[in-house]
Amino acid sequence: MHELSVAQDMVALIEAQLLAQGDHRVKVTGVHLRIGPLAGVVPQSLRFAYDASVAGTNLAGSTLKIEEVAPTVYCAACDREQFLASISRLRCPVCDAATPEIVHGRELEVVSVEVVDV
Amino acid sequence: MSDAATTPRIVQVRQQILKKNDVLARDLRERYREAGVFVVSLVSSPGSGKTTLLRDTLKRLISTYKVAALVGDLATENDAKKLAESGAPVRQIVTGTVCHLEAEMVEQSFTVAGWSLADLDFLFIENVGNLVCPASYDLGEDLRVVLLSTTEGEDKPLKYPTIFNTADMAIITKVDIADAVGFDRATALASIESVRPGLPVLELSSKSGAGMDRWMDLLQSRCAAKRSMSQPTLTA
Repeated sequence: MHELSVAQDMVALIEAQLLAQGDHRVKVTGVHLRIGPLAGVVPQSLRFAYDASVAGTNLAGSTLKIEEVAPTVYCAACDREQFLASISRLRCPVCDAATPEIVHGRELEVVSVEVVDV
Repeated sequence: MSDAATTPRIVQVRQQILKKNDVLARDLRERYREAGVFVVSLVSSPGSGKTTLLRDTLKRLISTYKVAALVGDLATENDAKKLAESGAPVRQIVTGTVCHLEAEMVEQSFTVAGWSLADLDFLFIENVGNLVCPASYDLGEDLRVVLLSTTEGEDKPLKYPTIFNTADMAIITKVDIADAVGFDRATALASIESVRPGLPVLELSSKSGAGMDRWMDLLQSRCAAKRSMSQPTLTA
């Protein structure tokens, strides 16, 4: 359950970013995240930890919008990227070649935030 | 006017949430390179044999190399005491409620211990016994080893694919009791290959010593290879 650490890092990152660009007097109403299945973070746990982490900050009451990134590998045999059904089997769904090269799936990023001026 | 104040505007952020850890891990990796120290981390579930393997690894290396170890646990200094039997300098990182090590904890720990990286050949980092959380945190290590013991389910890699995916090699431990516990070696190897095609696998037993020579050879050759790559270039 390291989602609490992740949520706290996320709040700190967003606050720092807003300060850096001069948005001192804003309230954050929404946060858009991208999470891949290989990031090691469970979205449901992160939601729970998020609500605990935003209390008393200018992110309090904001909604978390989580976009789950589909795991994508590069298949050398097909010479193209392929979506995987599961990260427990890194093999091309078309030709069954082993596909160790991961293109998408490790993402754990804040894409954007919605703010209102206060 | 009130509309302008209440309609949310979008602020682009586009940042990795664990950027702070990633940046620090990159700095550590560079410091390890400059110091010529080879850094190995061990991850596994509790009870897979990390501490025993590490103690015996330290014992074998200490006559020839300068070695040190950091070990993370939620509570107690028991593992540090066991590792210290090897004669190597050891420091326990008590993480409290934190279920994994982060780059900052590693840096603080060897700094407080007063270890000079340049004086070390090997630094070992034993992570908290946990197959989930450590996967998200780069520690700047050269070699991340995930352990799977013969007493665990052969399908464990399928259940915890992320940690196997971040590892550089896997070690199957406790092979001396494989037959007694009905360990299905082929299934275990197939599970590892499924979640991480091409991941090198070593099989060993700390207790019987089987496979330990190959592990030692691997560590010594990887350490030597790193040093030959990071030799400072002579300039006229």
